[in-house]
Amino acid sequence: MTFDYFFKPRVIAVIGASNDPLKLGYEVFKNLKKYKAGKVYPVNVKDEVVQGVKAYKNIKDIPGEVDLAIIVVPKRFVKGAIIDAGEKGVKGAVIITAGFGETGEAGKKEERELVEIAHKYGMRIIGPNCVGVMNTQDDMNATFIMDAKKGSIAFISQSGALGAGIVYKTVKEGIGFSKFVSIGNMADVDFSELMEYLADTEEDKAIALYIEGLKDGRKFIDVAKRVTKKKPVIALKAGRSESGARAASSHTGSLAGSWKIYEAAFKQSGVLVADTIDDMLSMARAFTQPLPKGKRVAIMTNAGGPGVLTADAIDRKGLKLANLEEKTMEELRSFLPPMAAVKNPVDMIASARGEDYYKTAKLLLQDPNVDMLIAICVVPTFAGMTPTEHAEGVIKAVKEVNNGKPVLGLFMAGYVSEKAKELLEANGIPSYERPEDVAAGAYALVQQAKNVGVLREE
Amino acid sequence: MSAKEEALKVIESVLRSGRTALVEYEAKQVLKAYGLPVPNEKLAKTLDEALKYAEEIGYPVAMKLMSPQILHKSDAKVVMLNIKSPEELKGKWEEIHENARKYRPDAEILGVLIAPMLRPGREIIIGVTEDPQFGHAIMFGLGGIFVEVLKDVTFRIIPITEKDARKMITEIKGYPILAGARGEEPADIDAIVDMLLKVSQLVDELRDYIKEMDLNPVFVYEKGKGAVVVDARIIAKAPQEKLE
Repeated sequence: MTFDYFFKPRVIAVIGASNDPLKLGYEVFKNLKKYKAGKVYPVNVKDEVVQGVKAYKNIKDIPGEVDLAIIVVPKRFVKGAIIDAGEKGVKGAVIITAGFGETGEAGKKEERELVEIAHKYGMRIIGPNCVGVMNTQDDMNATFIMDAKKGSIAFISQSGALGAGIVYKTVKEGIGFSKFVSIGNMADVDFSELMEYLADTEEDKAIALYIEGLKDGRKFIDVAKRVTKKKPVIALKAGRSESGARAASSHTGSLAGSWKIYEAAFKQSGVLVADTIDDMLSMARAFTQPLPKGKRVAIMTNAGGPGVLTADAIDRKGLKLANLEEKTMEELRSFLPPMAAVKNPVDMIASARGEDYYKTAKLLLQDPNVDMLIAICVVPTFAGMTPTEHAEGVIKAVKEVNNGKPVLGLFMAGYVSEKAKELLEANGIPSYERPEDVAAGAYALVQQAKNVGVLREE
Repeated sequence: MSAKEEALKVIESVLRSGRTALVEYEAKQVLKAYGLPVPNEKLAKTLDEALKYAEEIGYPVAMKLMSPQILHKSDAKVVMLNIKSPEELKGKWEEIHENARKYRPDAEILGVLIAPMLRPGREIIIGVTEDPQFGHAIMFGLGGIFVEVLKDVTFRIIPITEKDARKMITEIKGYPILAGARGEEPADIDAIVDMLLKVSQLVDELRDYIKEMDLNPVFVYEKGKGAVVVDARIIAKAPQEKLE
C-alpha cells in the first residue's frame, strides 16, 4: 500500500482555491504554490485566475492526470467535489471542510456516504474536518496553516488546532517535522494505515501520534506491532484521566479504565508512551541518532548542577550511569583541571573549552562501558569563549570516533545557546534544553533498541 | 471433547437457564476445561452426597453454597471453612441453607460445593474485561490490599504472548513479593505465566461468549509447587450481544 499520492503527488488540484484572503482556500493554494515536486492547479467555479494562476471551473477540466485533490469548499459542495475528483481518476482526497461526523449522527452518515463514493472510484480520503497534510521535504504544505520546520518526525494529529499549535511552537524550539498529517474525523484513512506507510519511508525517522480515540483498536495493535519493529512510534493519548468506573459486574471491569487498556495496547505493540506534548517531541526527535546497544549513559558537563539533574532524570527513566574504565578516567585527569570530576558524570568545570569537549567526548565514546553520551553545556559568555566552540568539539569527536553510539546534547542557556544548538541539530545531534527532556530522548532510544532487539540483555 | 466444546457446554447451559453470571462451580468447570488449576471440588445436591464427597476429599473440608442469586458469598455467610468431621458437616449443612434463605428468600440453590481446605499461598488476581475499542483484555495483580487499595494491576490485550505474560508479572510494583522479598522463597512464576496464557487462550477461543472474568484469589505456591484458583467468577454473554 502506498500513500505516495498523498505526500508526493505529481499533480495536485485545490478545489476551492480562492482569491479571497478570508477564505481557507486562499491559504491552502498560497501554501501549495511552493510545492516543488509536482504541479498544483486551482479549481474555482467563478474566478478565471487564482493568485495569478489560471484556474479551472471543474477538476475534470484540468489537462492530464491529477493524483491528489485538496477539498476546501463549503460543506454543501463537498459531495459534488468528491464525485468530480472520482471521475477525474484522482487517487487521494484531503477534505479540509468541516461539519461532518463531528456534528452528530447525520454528519456521520454523510461522511460515510463520501467514503463510499470515493471507494467506488478507488479513491482514499484523509479527513474531513482537518487542517490538511504537509511533506516538508518537498515543500508541500497542503494545509491552511504556516510551514513546519523541516526535520525528521512524521507527526499525525487527531486535533487540527493542537497540531497547528505544535507545528508553530516547534519552529522556535528548533524541532522539525518531515510530515504533518491532520487526520480529522478519520472517516477513511486512519492511524494504522498512515503508520504502515510511514514505516518504510527514508526521511521519517520517528512517527509521533496525538490520539484522542481509535476506531479500530485491534487493527492498530496488529499494525503497530509490525511498524515498531522497523521504526519508533511515540503516542500521546488524551483523555487518560477519564475515570475507570465503567459499568462492570466484575472486579476486573471496575479496575479497567479506558486509559489502562490503551496503555496495555501500546506496551504490547511496542508503541512508546509520551506523557506530555514536550515528552512526545523529546522522544521523537532523538531518532536522528543510532540506537544504543545498552542503557549505560555517560554524562559530560561544564556545570555540576545540570550533570546531577540529568543523572537523576535518566535514573527515573530506568537508565544507568556508566562506570567509566580506569583508563578513561586517568586520561581525563591528564588534561582536565584538578577541580574537575573525572567520574561519571564528568564535570569539566566552567573553564572547559571546545578542545576539552572534543577530547572528553572522544574518550567517553571510546569507553567500552559507555552505550550512550549526553553532552551538557551551559554555554559560557566569558573568558573569550565562542558560543559554538563546545558544540564544535562534540561534533568533531563524534565524527572521528564514529562507532555508532548515540549522542544527545543538553545545551542549557536559552538564547545564548541557540547557535550551538543549531549547529548540533545540523549535524544530526538532537539538542535539548531541559534535563528531563534529554532523559526522555535517551529513554526512547533505549526502548526502541529493545523493540528491534539490538539492546543487550541484562 | 475439545476444551472449547467442554467449556461451551457449561456456558450454554447457563445461558439457556436465562442467566449470564456463572456461579463459582460453573466458572471453575470452564477453567478446568482449559487446564487451569482448580481444587478437587464436588457439587453436592443432598446432605448424603456432601458427606460422601467430604469423605472422598478428606477432612477438613470447606463448604460453599452455590446460588445464582448469591454472588457475594461471604456477605451472605454461605462459606464454611475448616469442617473437621461428618457431625460438624451435618450441622453446617443446615446453617448454610438457613443463611442463604435469610439473605435471599428467593435464592435458587444449585448445591453446596465441597472443597478441600487449601494451604494458603501468595494471593494473586487474574481478570478479564471487554473493551469497546480493543476487545478483551487480561489483568494481573497481587490480591488483597494490593488490588483493593493500591490498584497495583496491569493489563494486556488478548491474545498475549509468553513474553507479555512475563512482563506483566515483573512490571507490577508488588513484584518483589513474588520474587521473594524478606527471605521468602520465590513464588512459582512459571505457574502464573502458564495461567495467564491459558486464560488468554480460553478467552480468545470463547470471545463471543465471555464478557468478564475474575479469578480472585488465586493462591500461588513456592517455585515448582504450582498455583490454584480459589474462587472464580465468569460473566457470560450470548454470542449476538454486541458492545454499543
